[in-house]
Amino acid sequence: MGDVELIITKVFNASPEEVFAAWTDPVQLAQWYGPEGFTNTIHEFDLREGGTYRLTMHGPKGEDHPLRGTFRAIEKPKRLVMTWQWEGEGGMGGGETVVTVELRAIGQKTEMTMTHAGFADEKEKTMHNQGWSSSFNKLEKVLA
Amino acid sequence: MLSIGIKKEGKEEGEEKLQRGVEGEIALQALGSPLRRDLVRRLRKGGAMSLSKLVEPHRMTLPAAHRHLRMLEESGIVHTHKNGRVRICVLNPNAFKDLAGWLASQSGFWEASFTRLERHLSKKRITSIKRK
Repeated sequence: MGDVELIITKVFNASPEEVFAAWTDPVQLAQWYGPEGFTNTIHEFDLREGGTYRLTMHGPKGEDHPLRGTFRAIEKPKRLVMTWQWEGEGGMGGGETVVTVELRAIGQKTEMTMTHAGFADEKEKTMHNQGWSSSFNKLEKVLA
Repeated sequence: MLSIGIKKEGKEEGEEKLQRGVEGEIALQALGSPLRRDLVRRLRKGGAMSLSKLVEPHRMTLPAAHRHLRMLEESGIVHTHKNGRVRICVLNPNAFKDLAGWLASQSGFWEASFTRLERHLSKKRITSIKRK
């Protein structure tokens, strides 16, 4: 197996509906996206499958980080899938990543699992699985 | 599958991490093509070689070969130098550290965001309780 993906699981003291809204309501999203001290300007937020979003994260030192993507699946309040791409590196193309958010109620709380996959294209992912394991095993050691 | 552990990030690190994330993503884009991944594989197995030998099994034009090579070079995965009229390609053993950097920075990014999300949700909750 050779996928490069990042998986983060976190439990929130809120309902799945509330967590889902925090991801899909641009007004709420702007309040928490990015590290401490960051603010966001949402330029576009077309919440439907195939719809795009564009925003700029403003760092505490005044740096701008434009970000864009496309919504792939919107299954309220369980699952949200969107592509994710930092802009501004001169249209290298093909480098989209995919963010998947899955929500599950545990009593009064919600367990959120966020998966950020490095390779967007499913076909390439399969190709990628054939023979890249060793490199990424090395990577795993670097990270360990 | 590669999943990495989560580290808490300090606030000053946020900006730098985000910048590194952009750099690491160039490596991901360079590797986002089966053909370029094969070129990297060939360099790993075969060591340094000329560009024409590197792309030999792929039967591509020289401009196409240069285009792919440029992406690998820009991401730091492959280094090249000219030896007379021949361009020699070498795999950069440190290249994958950038990719690791991408993962680390992205995980830092999300972890910091989710701390804020947690605070945001609890604020909302207090507000809605007060309303009741």
